[in-house]
Parts: sequence; structure tokens; C-alpha cells
Amino acid sequence: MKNPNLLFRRTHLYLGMILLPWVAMYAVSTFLLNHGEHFRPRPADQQWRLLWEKDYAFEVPPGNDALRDAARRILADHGLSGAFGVQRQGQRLVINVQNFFNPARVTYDLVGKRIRAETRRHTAPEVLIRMHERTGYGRGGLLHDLWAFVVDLFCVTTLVWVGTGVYLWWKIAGVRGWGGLALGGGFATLLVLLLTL
Amino acid sequence: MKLSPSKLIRRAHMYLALFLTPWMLIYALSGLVLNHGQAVRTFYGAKFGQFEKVGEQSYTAVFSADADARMIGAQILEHLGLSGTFNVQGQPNQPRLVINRNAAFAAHRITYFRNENRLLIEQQAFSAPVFVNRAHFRHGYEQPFLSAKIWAVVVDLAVVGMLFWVLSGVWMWWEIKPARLPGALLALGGGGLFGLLLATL
Repeated sequence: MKNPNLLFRRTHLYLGMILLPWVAMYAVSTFLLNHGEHFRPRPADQQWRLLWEKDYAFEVPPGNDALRDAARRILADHGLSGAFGVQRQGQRLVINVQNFFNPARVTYDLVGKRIRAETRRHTAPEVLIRMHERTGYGRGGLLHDLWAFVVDLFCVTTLVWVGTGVYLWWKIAGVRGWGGLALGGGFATLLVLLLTL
Repeated sequence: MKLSPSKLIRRAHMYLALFLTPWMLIYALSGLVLNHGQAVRTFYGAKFGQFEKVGEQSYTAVFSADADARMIGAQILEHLGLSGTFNVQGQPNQPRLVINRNAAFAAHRITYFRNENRLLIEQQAFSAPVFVNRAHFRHGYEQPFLSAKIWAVVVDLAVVGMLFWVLSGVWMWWEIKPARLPGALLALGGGGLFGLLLATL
């Protein structure tokens, strides 16, 4: 493909074909976030449902540094995995396991030596927003890192779409004026908004 | 000049993209910052995103019993000459109210110590990652300021744009016969990967 015009067109197109589901997902989830007042979960959907509860003894080391490893051990002991956040709340350890469809909350009572796992009903808007907000590497295995890689790919691709899009616009002499107006209008609108927000 | 449906779709795809270029740049750059948060924090050092004290002053005011936190926050910001989009943490009757003034280039945190009639004013140091992230996170119609509402309209326009680019992109792909097979394979691959990650994460 020696013609740069064709190369840019195909790059623009094929990257789009790969990332179609992500573009659609980010679009719909952005709409949900922008109209959050209409899509907030009802209190009934927020309630946690008990999965299991049992006796369990585990020495949680003091300090926050070892907390992550301790939480990972606790989850592994109970057949749970995935990206998580952990918090010490008084005499309890609360581990939130992130999952698109079935987020789990594991609460370990450090004094009573009891552990319980709960889950929550999921709604389509919540799932989409979880997908929108998931970023970062090193949070729970190969597939999690693969998601983060696709996020990188999406961001870099967006920059490539902008670059190739501007190039392809410039190559069509008949639309330079209107295109310039659209591009300049976009930057002018952004600047005015940034200065007045 | 008469535009064929195909040309009309191509032009709409392009003009919409050209107008939304600055927002797409912000979202892409911010996405990279968020995806590599730890590396960015390490690069910028301990002060990254931190608020630093820029002032402290007395503030003597009495609010009625039914004054809500937003009303108090708006009045304090006006007093400081910092009016604009903000949110408030805390209840109106609490001794400490935190007002986050979220401008585009600078973020201020004002803490109102009600019993002491005192305001603590802090400002977040400017950096490019903080700037793009703040622009990325800005959305919604709940702020009562015209520029914030116009920003939300542009966010909706970006949503329409992305959905239109998906549909018009598929249309344009189908019109290019030599690109049908590789495009279909790539779309299948992308869809398969998306499905796999959706089912397993």
C-alpha cells in the first residue's frame, strides 16, 4: 500500500472495525453518566444479598502495605478472584471484588473470626458504567491486563483517528473551508467553555 | 450541488469529527493518564494533584436554619470571587463544610469552619494530567451555570457523534468492496474479544 492516502483511509477504517464495540460502549455509558440523575440505581438495587457466611481465621498483618496481599489470600482461600479494593474499617476488613456483572463484597470480622460474601443485583447502566470506568494494569491477571491494553489501544487509536481524519479532510480541497470552520469552531467553543467554567 | 446519501454520510462523519476533535483529544489523553495512573504519579512526584494552602481569612456570616449546603457554598464562593461550578461535602449544620470549586484550569478547595468563622483556601497545583482528567470527568446538567450546561450539551453531541461514527463507519466499510473481508474479520475479532472480556471480567 504505497499510496499514503489509501494507507491512512484503511488504517482509519480497520482500527474502527476492531474497536466498534468499545466505541459503542463508551458512547452509551457516557450518555448514562451525562444524564446520571435519570439512571441512578434504586435503593432496592443497591441492597447486598448474602451469598455465604462461615467461620474463618486469618491473621491480618498491621498496616496498609500488607493489606493487598492479605486480601488476595483471603479471596483465594474462598475461590474468589479478580480486581479488588480493600479497606480496613475498624475491626472489619471489607474487600470489594470488581466484576462487570456480579460485584462481590467480602467482609471479614477480625475479632469474631467470621467471613461473609455478598453480591448485588446488576442493572445494565451499572454494568456499562463499570466498563467505562475500568482502567489500569496489574489488577488481577492476564484478562484484566488485556482490558487495560485495549483501553490504551482505544486511546492511541483515537489520536490516530484525529491525525488521519485531519489528513484526509485536508486532502479534499473542496471541503477545506467548511472543515476548517468546524475544526476551528470546535477549538473556539472549547476555549470559551474552559475560560468560563 | 446534489449530495448522494453516501456522500452526505461521509461529510456528516467528517464535520462532526472535526468539530469534536478537541474533546476527543482530551478523552484520549486523559484515558492514557487514567490507565497509567501510577506511572504518572511517580513521574510528577509526591506533590502531584495535591492541594496547597493559598490563604486563610475570617468569614462572619449567619445562615438561616433552612439554608442548604449548596446555598452556603455559593455565597462563600461569591464572597471570594470564585463563583462557578462547584460541589459541597458536608451538611449545612455541621461545623465544617468543604466546597470544591472546579474550574477548568484551577481547582480550589475551601473549608468553612463555621464555629470559628474562618475560611481555609487551598488550590490544586496545575499539571497537564490533572487538567485533562478534570475536563474528562466534567459532565451532567446539574450545575446551574450556562457554560456547564453547554459543556453537557457537547458531551451529548460527542455521544451522538460516536454512535454516528459507528453506524456511518459500517456503512462506509460496506461500500468499499476490497475492504469487506478484512474489515469483517477485524470486526469479528474485536467483537469476540469484547464478548470474552465482558463474560470473564
